[in-house]
Amino acid sequence: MKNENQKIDKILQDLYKIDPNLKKQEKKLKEIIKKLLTFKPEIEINQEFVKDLRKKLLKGDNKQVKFKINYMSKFIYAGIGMIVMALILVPYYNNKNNNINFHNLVKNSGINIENVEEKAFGSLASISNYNVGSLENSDGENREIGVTGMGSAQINSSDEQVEGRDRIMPMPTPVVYEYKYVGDDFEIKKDKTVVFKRIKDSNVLANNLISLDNLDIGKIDYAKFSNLQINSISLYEDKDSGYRVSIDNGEKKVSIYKNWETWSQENSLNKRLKIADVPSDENIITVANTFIENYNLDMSPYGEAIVDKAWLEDYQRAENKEKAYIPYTMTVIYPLIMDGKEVYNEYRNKYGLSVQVDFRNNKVSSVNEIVEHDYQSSDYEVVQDEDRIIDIVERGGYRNYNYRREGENVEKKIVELGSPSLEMVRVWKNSPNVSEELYVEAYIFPVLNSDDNNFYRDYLIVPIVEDLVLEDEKQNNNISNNTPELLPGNTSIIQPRNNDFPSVDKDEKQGSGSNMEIQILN
Amino acid sequence: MDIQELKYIKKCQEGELESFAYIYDKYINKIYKYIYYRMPDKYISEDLTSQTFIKALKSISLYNKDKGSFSSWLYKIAKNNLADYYRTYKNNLDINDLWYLEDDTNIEVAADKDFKLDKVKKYLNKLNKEQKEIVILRVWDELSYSEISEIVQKSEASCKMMFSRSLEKLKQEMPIGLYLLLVLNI
Repeated sequence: MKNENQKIDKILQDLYKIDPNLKKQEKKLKEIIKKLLTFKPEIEINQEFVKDLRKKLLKGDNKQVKFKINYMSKFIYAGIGMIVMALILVPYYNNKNNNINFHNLVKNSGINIENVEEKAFGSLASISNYNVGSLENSDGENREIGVTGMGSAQINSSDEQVEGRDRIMPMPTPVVYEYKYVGDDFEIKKDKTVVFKRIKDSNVLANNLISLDNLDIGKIDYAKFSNLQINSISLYEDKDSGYRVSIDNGEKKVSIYKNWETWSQENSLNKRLKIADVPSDENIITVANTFIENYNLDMSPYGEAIVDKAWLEDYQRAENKEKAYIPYTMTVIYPLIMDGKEVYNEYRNKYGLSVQVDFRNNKVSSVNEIVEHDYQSSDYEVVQDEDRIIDIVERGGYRNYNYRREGENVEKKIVELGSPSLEMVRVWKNSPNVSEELYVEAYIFPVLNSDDNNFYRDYLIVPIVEDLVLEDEKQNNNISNNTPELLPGNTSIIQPRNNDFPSVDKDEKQGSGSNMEIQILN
Repeated sequence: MDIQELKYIKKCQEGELESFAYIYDKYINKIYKYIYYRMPDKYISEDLTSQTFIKALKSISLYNKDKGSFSSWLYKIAKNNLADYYRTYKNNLDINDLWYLEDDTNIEVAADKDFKLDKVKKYLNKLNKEQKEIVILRVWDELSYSEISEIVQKSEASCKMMFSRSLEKLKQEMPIGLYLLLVLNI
C-alpha cells in the first residue's frame, strides 16, 4: 500500500510540474490513478520459462545466421555453368583459358574507409539543377512540374470542361502544403562533420575477362577503338528457377534477378492477394537470410534486417481493402552501417542491401545494392544556425523546391513536423557527367499529422553540412523567383493518386507505379 | 543512464556473451509484463518475450547510447514483435488498437483471474489510442517520460502533456467512470 501511494505521488508530482493548477484537483486525480493501478493485471511470470530462456540465450543457442565473407565466391564456382551475355556473346569468346577469370571481382570484405584531408571532395553543392524544380528543359520549353513536389490535387467540378474534349479531366485544385515545425528547440552541437564519399575507381571486372582482340560481333573492326574496357556483364544460370547476375563495373555494383524464362509462372497469374496471405516478417527475413547464407554474401557492412512496409501504408490508406493492392514480393532491407549509424535515403527509408522475397514461391526474386564498400572520409563545416535548418524543413525539406502559389484555387494544408533526430543519410552530388554518392549527417523530422491520404511522406530531411544547406537555399531562391504559371486546364490530363487498383510488382515491371502520384501530362 | 548497465552492454558489443545475463535479469520481468498487458496470453507472451531477447542479443552491436536509453531500445523491439504478431495473426490489427477491440473480437484472452481487460477497455476507451498507450506505459509499465518519449517517438514534453490531458479527460468522465466502477464492483 505504501509502495502504491509512493507511485501515485510520483506520478502526481510529475503532473504538477507540467501544470501546477492540477494540484487543486489532487483528490480526483489520485482516485483516477489509483483506479488505473487497480486495473493493472497481476502477472506472475513462469520461472521455468525465465530459466530456460536465460540458458538458451547465454549458451548462444538462438538461431543466428552466420554470414561469411567473399560474397561472390559462389558465383566463381557457378561460373562454369554460366554464360557471358551482355556486351559480348560467348560463341565469340576465344580466350586461351576457357574459364572466366573472376578473381578481380573478389576484392575484400567489409567497409574500407580512407581518411583524407578536410574538404577533400571540394564543394558538395551540385553543379546542375535537379529535376525537381527545374522549370525548363534543355530546349528552353516548359517541362512537366508538380505544384509542390510531393503533394496532390483534387478534382474540381466538371463545369470547366472544354467543348470537344469531354474525355479530358478538369483542372485540379492544387494543394499547397505548408510545413510547420512544432517540435522542441534543438541545438547543433558540432562545427565539423565527417562526410563519406563512395569511391568507384577500381576495376571489379578483369580486363582479360574476355579477349577483346578476337571479337567479331556485328562485323565491326574493334581494333579501331582504343583502350576498350568492359563496362558491365550479365550472366545467367542455365537451369530451372535460375538467376541472372548483372555486374556493373562503373558503379561497382552487382544485382541478382530471377531469370524469368526459367521460372514457373503458375503462381503468378490472376490471384488477388489478401492481407492474410502475407507471411510474418520473421518468415520473410528467414527466406532472405537463407539465400544470403547460401550465396555467401558478405553482410559485415550491414545491420539488422527489416521488412520494408511502404506497401502497407498504401494498403491502409485504401478505402476498399478488398480491392487494395498487395504485392507478392516483400523487400527485406539490411541497412548499411556507416560510422556506427544506420544509413537512410533522402526519403528516410533505410538504405542498404535490398532483397526481394517472392513469398508465393518462398524464394528470393532479386537482390540489389550489392556494392563494393570503398569510401573516403573528409571533414566538412556544419551549419551553425538552427533556424536555417528549420527554414528548409518548413518548405518541405532538402531538395524540395516549393512553388508557392497564392490566390484562388489553391488549397492549403498544414503539415506539422516534430523534433528531429540526427542520422546518416545518403545523398547525391550531381555534376553534368557523373553522380557522386555521399553519406552525410542530416536531421530527420517526423511528420506528425500525416492523416491526409495524399501526403505520403513520413519524414523530411535536412543535411547539416554547410555546403548542402547553402546549395539548397540558393536553389530555392532561384525557384521562388521563377514561379511558373499553372498549365492551362484544357491541355492537361490529370491522373489522380489512387491506391485502389492493382499494379505490377516492381521487380516484374520496372518503372511501373505511376498510380502513386499525380502526373500532369501535356 | 545506468553506468553499470552501459558497462555490460559494451562488453556484450565486444562479444562477451555472458554479460547479457545482467541485461536479461534486469529486464525479463518488465518486458514480459509489457507484452502480456498488450497480448494477454501466457504462451504467446512467452514466445514474443523470447523473440525480443533473441533479437536484442543479435543486434546489440547496433545499440547506440547517444540515440537513446537501452530500455526504450529494448521496449521498441518488443513493440515491433507485438506489431508483427498482430498484423500476421490478428487480421492486421494495429497493436495500438488493442484497447479499441470490440467485445466480439476474437482475441484469446487467457483465463487469468486477475486480468480485467473488459473493465480496462470500458474505462480507457474514453481516450484515444496514443493517450491510452502513454497512460499504460506510465502507470503500468512504470516507465519514465524520457523512456516513453523514445518508444512512442514524441517529445518528452508532448508525452507529459498527453498524459496530463488523458487524466483530465478521465476526470471529466468521472461520473461515468465511477458508475462503471460501482457497477463492475471493482
